[in-house]
Amino acid sequence: MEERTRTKRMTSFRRDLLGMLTEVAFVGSLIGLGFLISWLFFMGR
Amino acid sequence: MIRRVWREDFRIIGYYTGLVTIGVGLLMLVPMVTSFVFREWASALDFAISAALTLLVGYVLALVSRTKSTPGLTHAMVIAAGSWLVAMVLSGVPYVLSGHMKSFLDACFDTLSGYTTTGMFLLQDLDHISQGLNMWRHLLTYVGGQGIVVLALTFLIGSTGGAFKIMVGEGKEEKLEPNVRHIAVLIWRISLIYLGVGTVALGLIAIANGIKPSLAFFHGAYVFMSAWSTGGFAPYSQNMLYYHSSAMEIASMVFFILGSFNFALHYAIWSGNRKEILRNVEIVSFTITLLTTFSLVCLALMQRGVYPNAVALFRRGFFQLVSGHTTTGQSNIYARTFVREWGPLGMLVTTIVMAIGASAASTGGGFKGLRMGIIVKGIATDIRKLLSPERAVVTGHYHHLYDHILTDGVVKSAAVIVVLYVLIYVVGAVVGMACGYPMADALFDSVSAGSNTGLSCGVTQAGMPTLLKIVYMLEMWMGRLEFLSVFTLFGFIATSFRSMRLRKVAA
Amino acid sequence: MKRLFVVLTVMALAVLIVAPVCASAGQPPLLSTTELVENSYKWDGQTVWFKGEVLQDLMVREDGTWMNLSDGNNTAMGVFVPKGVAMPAISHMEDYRTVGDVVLITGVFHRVCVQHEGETDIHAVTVTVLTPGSIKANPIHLDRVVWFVVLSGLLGLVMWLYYRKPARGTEH
Repeated sequence: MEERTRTKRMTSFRRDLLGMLTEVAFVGSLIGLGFLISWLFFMGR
Repeated sequence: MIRRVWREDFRIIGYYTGLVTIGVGLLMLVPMVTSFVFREWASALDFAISAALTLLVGYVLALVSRTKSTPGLTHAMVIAAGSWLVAMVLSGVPYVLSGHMKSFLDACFDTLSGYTTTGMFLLQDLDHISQGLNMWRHLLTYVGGQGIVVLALTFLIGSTGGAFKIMVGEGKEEKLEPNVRHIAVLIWRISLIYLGVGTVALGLIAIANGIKPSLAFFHGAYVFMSAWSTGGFAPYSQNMLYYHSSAMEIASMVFFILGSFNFALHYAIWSGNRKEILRNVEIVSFTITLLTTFSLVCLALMQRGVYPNAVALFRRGFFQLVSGHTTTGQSNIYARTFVREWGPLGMLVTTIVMAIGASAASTGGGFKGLRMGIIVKGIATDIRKLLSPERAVVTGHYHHLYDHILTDGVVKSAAVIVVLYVLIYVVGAVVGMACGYPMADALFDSVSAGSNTGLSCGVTQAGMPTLLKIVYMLEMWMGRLEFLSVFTLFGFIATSFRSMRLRKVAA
Repeated sequence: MKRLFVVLTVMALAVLIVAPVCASAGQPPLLSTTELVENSYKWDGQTVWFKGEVLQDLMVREDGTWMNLSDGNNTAMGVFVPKGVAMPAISHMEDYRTVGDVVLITGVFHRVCVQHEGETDIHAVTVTVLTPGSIKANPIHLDRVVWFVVLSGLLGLVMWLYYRKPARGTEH
């Protein structure tokens, strides 16, 4: 495989992966905040 | 759209509808193969028949109306609305052949629910259907989420300006790239990559939870397709309760939240613009409404003492709320539990989040976060104008991929669509109440249908009045297409009758 | 002699009266999913009987086994069988080609099970197989085969017509 094509593919793969990780991390923190809220409600009780 | 309708218009509409129908027929081969794999011969035959019939209808349409003209905007709107109906009817054939439907109308309800990624169903005895039929149900929501139209575009049409207009008719208006084929490929690439990752992840969780490996990845695929498309179907009647697994629920939740995001946002983040996720008006709107309404739900549930500890409150309360807000419709409680345990406030808050819905240009429904953000900022800007000195120039902005100016026109368009949604929600609720259901129940299921969510508190079942079934079907259809496409279709039909009469008079 | 007869009669009557009362007091009610969900507060913590067909996936976990029992049209309940409870061999689980074993369990119903993070479930105390499962017929109907052949034939014809003609432009 041409070196340039391979580099392009790796960069594209890396960007896809970072994109996916960013999104999943964000959603994970939303879920974490949700858990925090329910925990706080029980602490407050 | 008050113009004369010519024969060529029918040809364009017929031809492209035919192409979409062919796409649907090809899609039926997937459940057919699934049934073969599981040695469900009768089911495989049912799908073979359905595929042959659908392809036949598609090719006949395409043959009879073959044309080289490209669709205009009006055509595109009509094709978008019309092809949904054709697909709905033909996709119901396997359901009817399976013997699990009480009527053909019920089958159409289920397929429309699938394509619009709603998730309500009237199927009888879900726990005893074939793997083939389960594959078909979930595939419908996955494909519906991507837009049947985009499916046809990718595989059957060369890149034409006409195809872009069809997609606009579908309700996904983001101007991502000038070339429509490129957009379609991009949407599919992101969805397919997540399909792979999601199926594997959920499949592994299923195995860890005691499901046989040979079946686990099918469960994984079904749950993923249901989640990503914010559809809400599940292979068994207990929905997510079937798995008794918090890992399964949380993983599914991650995917359905992601599926509820704007595809333009996915594109931006996957292209390197990762900061967008914190600046985008829809994400900000979603985060604010989600956390506020969840706090309200916690209040309601705590007041009634429904759950004994924080973990249960989170696992049941948060899941249902997020499922509602993203208009997914997966559930880890029984439908009647909303009524019998959550109570009126819990139900009302869930109804409100369903009404607000997910992001624009996503698989979700409802008002859409973009409109919420625009309207709220519009109100804030108006207040600022009132409080500012008369000669000061006050302009509002909102950030959606780029900074946009908040013009009166933008706010008005957003408000008009929101009003239309409220209208269908209320009409559905009123019809439900007229049929004898209590207000909270009728409103809940009506909003669920109109926002393509799919959560039910018990109203939606095969025994419900036929009128209500039809009302919900109209809500699902209009809600998914965001009205414009549907109005254009009706306008087109009306003017074609008028044109025919005029031509008769002239002759 | 007469007194003995009277005493025996009284004792017999007593047994006849008391026995059914005792029996019904000890016998848990046989409930459906609908009843349990609809009146979850009433049945919360109660010992009940539940009967249903074992659905496809029997999930064995470290502390017990999960079964989903189907007891009607689109109603099924999750039943948790803790490790200590004797679990009979389940010969058939529901499938397109199989009818699953029908199982009767006695157990405690939980409206929101604390062990399982708020789930509505039944923790089994005894498990018995009532009716073993069997293979389902799912016959292939000849008329459907005919339909398939006819439709495929027509499809082939239309496809041939479609692909053979060079694309027509607008001639009108």
